[in-house]
Amino acid sequence: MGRYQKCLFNVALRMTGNAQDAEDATQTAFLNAFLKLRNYDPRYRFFSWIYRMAVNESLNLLKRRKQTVTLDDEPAIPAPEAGADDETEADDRVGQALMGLKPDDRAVVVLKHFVFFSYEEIADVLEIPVRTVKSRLFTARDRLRLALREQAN
Amino acid sequence: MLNQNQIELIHREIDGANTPAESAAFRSLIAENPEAKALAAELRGVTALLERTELREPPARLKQTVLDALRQPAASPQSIIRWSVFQLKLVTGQMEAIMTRKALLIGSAAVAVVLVSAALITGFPPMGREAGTIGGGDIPGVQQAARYHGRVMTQADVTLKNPEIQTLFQNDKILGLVRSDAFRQVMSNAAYHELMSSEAYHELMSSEAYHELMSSEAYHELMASEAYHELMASEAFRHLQATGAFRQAQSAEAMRTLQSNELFLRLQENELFRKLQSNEAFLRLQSNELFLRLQDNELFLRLQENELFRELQSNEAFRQLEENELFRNLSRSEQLSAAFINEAMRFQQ
Repeated sequence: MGRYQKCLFNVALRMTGNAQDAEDATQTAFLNAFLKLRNYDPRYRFFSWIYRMAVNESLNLLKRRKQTVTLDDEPAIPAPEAGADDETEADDRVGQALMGLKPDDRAVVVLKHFVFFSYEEIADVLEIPVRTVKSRLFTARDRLRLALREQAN
Repeated sequence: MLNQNQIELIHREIDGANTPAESAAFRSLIAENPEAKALAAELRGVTALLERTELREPPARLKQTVLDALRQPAASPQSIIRWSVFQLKLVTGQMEAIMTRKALLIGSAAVAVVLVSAALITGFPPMGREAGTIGGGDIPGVQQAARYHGRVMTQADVTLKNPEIQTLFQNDKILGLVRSDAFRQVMSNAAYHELMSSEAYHELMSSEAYHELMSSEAYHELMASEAYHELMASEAFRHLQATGAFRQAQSAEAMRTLQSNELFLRLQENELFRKLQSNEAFLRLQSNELFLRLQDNELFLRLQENELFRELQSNEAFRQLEENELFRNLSRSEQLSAAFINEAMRFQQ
């Protein structure tokens, strides 16, 4: 648990956009993992299995809350307070831009750029074809580029 | 204007996914095309910004909360209130699993009901040619009952020569159960018949998953455990089951209501309940896909509310029957289950 909790929490944080939801999603993911440990097929990679739980739980949580934030809507992650340092500001800008993506696209970006998974590993976690991973990633990254450019202006 | 292939080439280069030849093509592209060069630079900036973001530390309580939930800690009203909504969800999930376990018990009860009803319809126990029972006249000692003229079960459905089946049909525990008022009333219960004729039930009874579960050691261990039976028969559990809050526990709001439900709290404190929750066999069963499917079955829920079914569940004869090796063996037989379901459907017509 110690090995994965930080990563899973951060995946959930970037997926849900707030710390409380991320905590809930991470807890649920761990508990599901413990309860379903006997179902785990050792032929598959454990990290894929546990990350899948975290991503799915985050997606479920978002669905339940019907959180449909778009770039034009009010951001889920609040804008940085005056006087916040550069790092915090960059973090908030990224968070806001991420929340403007569709949850499925966001999952790909999060796994790619926060967990540093390969296309194949992301495909494994999300149980989608590699070509879908690439397509979602490229589209999402391009949207992020435009969103961040807009923020900068 | 960049084409799709060029855009993908740039993205793959940023991800370090290009082959050496593709990387060479990328370098040529940005050398010759200012738009490609600008896009590559901008995407690199995005990537750098994303990857520069530091990972946040999870709350210190996270690990402990998970471990507490797994340990099923002592659940005083105070500690339950302190629990996070998430933990409550987990507990409720386990409650639902117990409910479903109960539904499975009803599933096996239904097999037993059908089994015995078949015997009732056709004469019980088979006592020679005159008694009449399920099956064709080609089986020695077995005739179709004159008072019942539905489709005859044949040897293709079930082999009545099977000594186990014959013994079971003469089992005094079954006889005691059949003669009980509770049993007879359940047999005439509309919800029961509706369930028996439902597609969902039929599907379930013939599913591999159901038979695997029914024949698993874990299931039998749990079914035979004192803790399970005492819990099922406990007043607190029954009252809780009847609460609307529990039935709607899928939504967070209902869970909050449940959290303050006195019966829920009482059940949490019930030693038997705790014992059952930590039962390894029970935990294994919870991860079975079948649980999820059963949870959606409205008819199971309705039947569970039926007072007579509850009475039947705490019926000693039925309990003994459940623990009866013959009954267990029979419940593993897909053919037999299907045959009994057929019989039940005929009976209700």
